[in-house]
Amino acid sequence: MTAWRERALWAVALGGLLLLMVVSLGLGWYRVPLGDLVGVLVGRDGGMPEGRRALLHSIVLGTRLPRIAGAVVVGGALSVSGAGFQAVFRNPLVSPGLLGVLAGAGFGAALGIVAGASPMGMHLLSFAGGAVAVAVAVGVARLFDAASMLMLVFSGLVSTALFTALLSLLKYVADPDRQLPDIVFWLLGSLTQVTGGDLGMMVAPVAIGIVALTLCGRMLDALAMGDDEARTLGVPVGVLRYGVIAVATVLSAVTVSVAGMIGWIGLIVPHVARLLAGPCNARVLPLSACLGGAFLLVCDDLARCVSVEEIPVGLIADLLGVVIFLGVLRLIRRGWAE
Amino acid sequence: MTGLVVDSLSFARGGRTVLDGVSFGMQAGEMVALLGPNGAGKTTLLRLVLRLLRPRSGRVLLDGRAIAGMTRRVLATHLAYVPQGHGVVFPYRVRDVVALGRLAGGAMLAPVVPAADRDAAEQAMARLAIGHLADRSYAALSGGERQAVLIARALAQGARLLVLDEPETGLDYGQQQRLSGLLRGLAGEGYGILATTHDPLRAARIFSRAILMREGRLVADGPAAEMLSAQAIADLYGFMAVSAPPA
Repeated sequence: MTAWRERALWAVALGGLLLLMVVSLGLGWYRVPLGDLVGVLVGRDGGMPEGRRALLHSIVLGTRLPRIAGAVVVGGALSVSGAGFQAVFRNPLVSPGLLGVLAGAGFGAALGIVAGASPMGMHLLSFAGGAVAVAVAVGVARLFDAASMLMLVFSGLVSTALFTALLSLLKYVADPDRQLPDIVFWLLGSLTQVTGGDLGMMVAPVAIGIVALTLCGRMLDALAMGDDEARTLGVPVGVLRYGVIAVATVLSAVTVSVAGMIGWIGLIVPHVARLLAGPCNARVLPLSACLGGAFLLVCDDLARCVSVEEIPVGLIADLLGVVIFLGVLRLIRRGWAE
Repeated sequence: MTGLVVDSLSFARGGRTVLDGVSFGMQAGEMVALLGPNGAGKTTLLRLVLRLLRPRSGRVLLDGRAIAGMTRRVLATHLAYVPQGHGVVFPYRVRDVVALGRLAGGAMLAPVVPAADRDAAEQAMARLAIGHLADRSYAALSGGERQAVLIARALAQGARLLVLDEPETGLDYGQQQRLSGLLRGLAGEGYGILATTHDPLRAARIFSRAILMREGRLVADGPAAEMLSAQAIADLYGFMAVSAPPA
């Protein structure tokens, strides 16, 4: 990739994301004219009647902004997490859920619902569930053969099965009138509950995670050549693999604990990033963050605007993901070496 | 002592002894061929030298220091590995693959390849005459081209000792000739070359020294042309010598 092409790519990706965020602030059932929107955003709203000014501030900055920022952070984090997992496992078909983080987080959230936990308690339980599920997978793998990637994948399957079963158990014992609908709705994934506080909690770990993984980009490229070859190139393979798994797990678990189960965006987005920027992870990872954020934001805009009754964003992300994936599958194939 | 020293190295896998008290030393500028029938322990020996396996006993020294105590990164600045040409899942460009050789000597955590490292990669590609492949996908190359890329990566790594695993595999006659010329040239510049090979006749002509292995033991070690007589080859591989000695 030439230098100017690379600059153009980043300008379009970041500029596009920013533009999309501004446009999204104007979208919704309460129409905000563009002039007023810009006025509120840049602080030139002194001329408005006080009541309208307060209303617009409440809608645009109080309600929509956290949600839009939440969509970007969640989509970006999940996509980077997926790209990290794909690099570590040298497999383009891997999603962030490979080692059980999604199943574990789902179980943790359901546990919170059944136990009547506070919203904060829900976040913590869900995050802990995801982390514990991955720890179980890694622990089982190390019990048998710490160096084998195949063993790690098997252990991930075991952990996923375990926490899926435990989740089913919770659904079975949950109160069918009060708790079960909550569990089902949570599992669909939604950004309606995202508050400014959640956002504050998410932003720092997600940003640090994205930067950390991006800095490991070249070592992950070496890992693509195989473990032994990466070692002879000077890469501490074990530390890198488990470190990236830990960071990618935190990225997934944080977002799932806030937004529920928004699954396979983490599988697709890195492919599109690779298509645009080539396979080098130092580009794929941050570009995945931009594209994933933009993708989930579009999904959430649809979730908010398509019907009066809001559609769960996880559902839209899955559907739209299928459409996009089919659309670019032919191109993406070129991104896989045969 | 400078160079590589392998000191009574033993290795066992599943209770079976694969390598039994192998010792030898080599200097910069030497070209050493490692020969023996399949299962003799050649690849195991290479992997022990690269610290991809842990020996049951014995040790490997580089310039007098045990490699067991080195970090991967330091080891990589002394010792470069040229594996057999292989597939890669993601379509890295040749330029990217060669630049990976600079990881150990340069900034491991830099998101972009630093300019100095890019230059080193360019030089290595020029040395192998593969500059025209720089923007091609590594995965789409032929076996011979892939090997050239991997050798360029090893040169970019800056290590003075190159370890090659059956480098002539999959090459046609012309490519084998070019590879031989290249390796001799590198040895002439002071690179140490340690390579496993399946071709004793070629090894006798090209390498300065041959180490013969059988059943995990070192059976002969000396100048390649002397070690690889028709009789020695027949004994090593277990057949009757009938042909004339190698040219």
